[in-house]
Amino acid sequence: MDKKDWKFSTTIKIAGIPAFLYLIQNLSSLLAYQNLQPLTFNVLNQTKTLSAALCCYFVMGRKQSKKQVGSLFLLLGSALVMEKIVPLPFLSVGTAGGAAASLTMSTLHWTHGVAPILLASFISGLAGALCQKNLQSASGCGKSGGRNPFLFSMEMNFFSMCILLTSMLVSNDGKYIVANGFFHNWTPKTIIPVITNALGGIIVGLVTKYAGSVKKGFALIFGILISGILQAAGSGGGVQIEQIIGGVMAALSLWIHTAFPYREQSVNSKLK
Amino acid sequence: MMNFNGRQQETKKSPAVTMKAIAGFILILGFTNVFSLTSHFSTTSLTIKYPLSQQFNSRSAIYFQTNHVRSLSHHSDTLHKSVQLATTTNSGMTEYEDLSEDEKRELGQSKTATPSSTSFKMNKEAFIFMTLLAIQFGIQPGLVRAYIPQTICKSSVVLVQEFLKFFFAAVSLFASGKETVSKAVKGAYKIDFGLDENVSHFFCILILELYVSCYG
Repeated sequence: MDKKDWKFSTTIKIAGIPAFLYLIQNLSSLLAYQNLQPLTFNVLNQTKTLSAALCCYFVMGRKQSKKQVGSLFLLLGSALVMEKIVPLPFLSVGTAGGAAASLTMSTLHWTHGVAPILLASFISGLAGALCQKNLQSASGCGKSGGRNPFLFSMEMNFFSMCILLTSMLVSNDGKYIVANGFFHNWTPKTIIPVITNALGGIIVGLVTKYAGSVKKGFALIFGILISGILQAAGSGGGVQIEQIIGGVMAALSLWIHTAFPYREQSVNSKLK
Repeated sequence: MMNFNGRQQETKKSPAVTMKAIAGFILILGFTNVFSLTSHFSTTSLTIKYPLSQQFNSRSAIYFQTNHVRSLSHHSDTLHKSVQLATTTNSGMTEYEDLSEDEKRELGQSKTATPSSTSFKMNKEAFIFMTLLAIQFGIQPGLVRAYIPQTICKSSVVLVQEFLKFFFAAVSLFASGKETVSKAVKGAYKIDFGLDENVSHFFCILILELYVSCYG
């Protein structure tokens, strides 16, 4: 059989493994969504840029520009500031009780919020790098560059559903569904975030198509801003100073990372 | 009113400090993004509308040439999509296409320097989709916290989510035009039309069935 033919094993490799990874990512993200504040979630979610950069480097050998490396450290710093791992002494006046709060922060916040989103971010970077490597490799798919992104997305969703359904045969979720029904604890409004999340994937594709990745980065920065405003405007609380500083750092990092990519040409020209 | 702050409220700050911080956050982000976007769009439009050699004196030409190069360098960024691709959303939607339609057109026009009536329309589309993405990205955490109960079975949510993504991707595929669908399906079908009976084969036949049912 021709190497370029699309075998089942190849299909599994191209779409199956990333689908499995994205499935874990989706479950982790859902858990984190429920246990983290919006702004915290969106900023920590951006650490996938860091994992993507690392995975692309180790999997594909893709390099980063110096500014991008700096932006990744800035991103890491934003996550550390936001989670108060790196304290900000000059904010002690404005954040009275912040240190105490960080000490008494519930274990649930870490185990069901921070850890899942960091796992999801890492998996996102790994899955993305694997996807790209498999799609570009000759053994993956002969004319991968011509594959329709929507078709590929459908493939991955199909595999995700298959894996999830199979896992339900043995998992506690499966037993729970058998005992209580599939839509137990669902409300009519539950479908709203599910739909918006699904639509988000399509919108990302459209933004990339019509605006490109750079402008997509700006849109995500605005998204962080919106989540911050909504969180601040919500009843019974507000935005903490660490979240604001972390948000600004993450936004700046995102901008630097998208605006100053690594260029092979500049290196070549210097050599000449 | 929907509680975007969620269920677990952490330490509360004084309103004055919070408001000052929010104002600073908005100002910094707002200026950063507005100037970035404005300069990006305006540079592109100037590049398209005014050929450098004809409209400006040498000094301004250098200035606009610099901006032009910057603009082009922005576009060339899309050639290095490895990280951006890998930072694709959790939707699993991939972005392995080459330059965007907008960027292809902008680059093409900058070479020919001929204004096009469709340019604004496409920029408008890009702006609308970017706005939608920002809104979706911004409200998603709040929506999840507000409407998805903690006690819900997460697998059921993710399964419905995956099904909807599959559905929306199928709709988008079919909405992208007859030729695109034909090309995508034929390509996949041609590759899979072997003796091996596998999931991939089944999947492509499913697509073909959908295609036939939609377009006869």
